Amino acid sequence: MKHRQVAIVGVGLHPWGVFPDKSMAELAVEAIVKAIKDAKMDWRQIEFIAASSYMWVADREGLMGILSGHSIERLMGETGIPVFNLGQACATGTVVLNAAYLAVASGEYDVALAVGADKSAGGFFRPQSRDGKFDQDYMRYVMTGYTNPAYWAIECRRRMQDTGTTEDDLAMVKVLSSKAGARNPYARYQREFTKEEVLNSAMVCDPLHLFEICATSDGAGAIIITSLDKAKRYTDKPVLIEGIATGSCSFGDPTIPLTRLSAFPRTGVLPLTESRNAIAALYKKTNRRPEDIDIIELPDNSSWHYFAYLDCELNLEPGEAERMLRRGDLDPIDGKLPVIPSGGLGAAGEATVCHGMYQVFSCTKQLRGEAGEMQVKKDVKVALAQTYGYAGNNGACILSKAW
Amino acid sequence: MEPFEPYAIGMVDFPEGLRIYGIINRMENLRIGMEVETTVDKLYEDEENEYITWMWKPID
Repeated sequence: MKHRQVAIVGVGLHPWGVFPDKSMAELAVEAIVKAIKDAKMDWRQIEFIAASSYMWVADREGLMGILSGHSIERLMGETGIPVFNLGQACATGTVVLNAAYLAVASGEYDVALAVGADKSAGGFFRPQSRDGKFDQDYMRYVMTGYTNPAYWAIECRRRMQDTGTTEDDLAMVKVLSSKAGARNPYARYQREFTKEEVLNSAMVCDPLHLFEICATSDGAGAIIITSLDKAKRYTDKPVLIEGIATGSCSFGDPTIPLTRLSAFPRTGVLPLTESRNAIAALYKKTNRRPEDIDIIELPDNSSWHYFAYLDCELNLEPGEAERMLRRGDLDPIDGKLPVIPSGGLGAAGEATVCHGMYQVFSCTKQLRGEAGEMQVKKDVKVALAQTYGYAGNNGACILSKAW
Repeated sequence: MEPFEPYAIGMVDFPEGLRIYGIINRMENLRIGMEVETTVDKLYEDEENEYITWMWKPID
């Protein structure tokens, strides 16, 4: 299908951390103001808003969380423009950008804002109802003991058995990513971790230690996009969204996505189809191949995710991701293929509905050569960012220089 | 939930092709690929009721 090319002209983040004195919308406003300044733009020029529906509606900030975008728009100044609110759990940020992209690519709007903010509940996620009859999430947590990290742990144990992933490999994910996290002024944990520290941290869900699982954080991010032909009005370095895709599961996937209790594995269906489907669509849309990718931002909710999603993104043979890590290829600063040059979720903690913005911010800064101490050593021409969410959904995009 | 007591969990493949999550009713000597049978066991109790759920019982 023919549509207009779309570029990123402004990005802004609120730092990630814990901010009890700010509301979700206040965090978002700080990110938007930075993005508007970055684009040298006026708020009145925004024609369309796609916003992440705030996830912690049930116990924090009330019903308006579902309409996050409207709360945020009200603080910024009501201009009467369309505001879409989308909720796709951890993949929300990327899916929101996808919606904003479609609004501009279609020709319907010239300037759109993708914004997300979250104030996560601390500790393990919990079911939001007490309904043991219909709430699958309640059944999963209470009747089978499957917290999110337990799900990651059991998939990790399976991977260790099938692929030979070692405890050292899992610990090294944190060691490597923290090297970038230590240099990221927006990260919550700005320090390096040693392998001994990681392996000696508390065992949470065997085989995953505390420092191999991300924290939950508050944060906010804003991305402003325009049609490519208008982008040069706002920036000398527009970042092209070559493609953006959202995926869901295929029947027969052997993994059991969060919220579900069972799967029906079928021969030939690979795990994490929601990610493989989005990424396959993305490569098709962009006519790119895994070899073209210079840096990757992926959802490292745990050390298991790091390897599992590299498999999906690069279509790797079992064990290849671990070998790349052991060779140092994936070093986030000076590797052949830097992975999570922002330090990822391990350094940021997860602000659930806006991690997609955090990733796209990182990739944009790397492409522009503005990542400061985090700037990777190699020349970055093409970046891939991917998030995945609850209940089997995924978002991924490929970005490159449009100057 | 405090004090926290560790528990074991597993994904079990049924002959019909279904893969299902559940609690394993012991912590020791577990390995991937071992046979289990389906059982019903106590999950927790409060003043009024005892709550049960499906669990996996390893067959050694």
